[in-house]
Amino acid sequence: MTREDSATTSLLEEEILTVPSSSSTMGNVNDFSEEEDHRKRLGAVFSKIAAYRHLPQGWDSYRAPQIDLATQAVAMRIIKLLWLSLGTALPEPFVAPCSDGGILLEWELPMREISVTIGQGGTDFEYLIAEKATDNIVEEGTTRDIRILVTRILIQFI
Amino acid sequence: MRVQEIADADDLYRRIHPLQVRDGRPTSAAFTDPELSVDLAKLTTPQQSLSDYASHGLASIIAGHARSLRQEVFHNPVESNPAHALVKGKKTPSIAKSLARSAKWEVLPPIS
Repeated sequence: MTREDSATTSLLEEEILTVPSSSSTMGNVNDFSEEEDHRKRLGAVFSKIAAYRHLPQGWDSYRAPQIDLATQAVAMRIIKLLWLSLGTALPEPFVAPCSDGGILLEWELPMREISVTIGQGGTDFEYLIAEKATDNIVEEGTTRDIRILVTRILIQFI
Repeated sequence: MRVQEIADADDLYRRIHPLQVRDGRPTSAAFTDPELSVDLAKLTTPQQSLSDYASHGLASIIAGHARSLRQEVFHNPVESNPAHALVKGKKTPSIAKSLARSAKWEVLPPIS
């Protein structure tokens, strides 16, 4: 493993290991169990994202670049920020590597679907909120500010 | 290699990586490239498009639908693939999603 590999691996490990340890629920054994289950499910999502680093250039059978570690770390950070606010109310997202080097996160709510695309490098975000039944666009936007992005998503859960 | 006109009704093939499939459907993750490579269906076969990529699925989209989303669709033959074409243009999340929603499986990806 090169020094660069080691440093970037540490970046991901930091994101994985610092997952929130508790939500607002407390004291009840069932709450603890639910929380642990939720933690495991989101942990599995983090592992999936971390595994994208093994995709070689051209992994999509075309010209897809490798999914860089900064993009992976930012994807995990977005999930963690939502998790800190929503606790076990946050469903695990569907995640997928994009053919342009980004990462797609999708949440399905009862009435709406939220799609977030993290651009290659992890600095640009595009989001789409659409009605599930009709595909009508409720909101679509771009931002470079992770706080704005997380706020737009959080509003959908309230 | 002669460059062919692509009619609105023409089908275009796109290979889909299994990681880009959700609930048995292609997702927008497979349609984000601003220069999206596809094969012009009338110049190839699903088997040819998938040769050497047995772990992928193959989906088709219609050229006219891509054009309706402000995408440029044109034949771009290369030596290794005379059927190669491009769907060129910025793919916003709603455009990528619309392309994914319209995609039809020609060959399902193998179940892993």
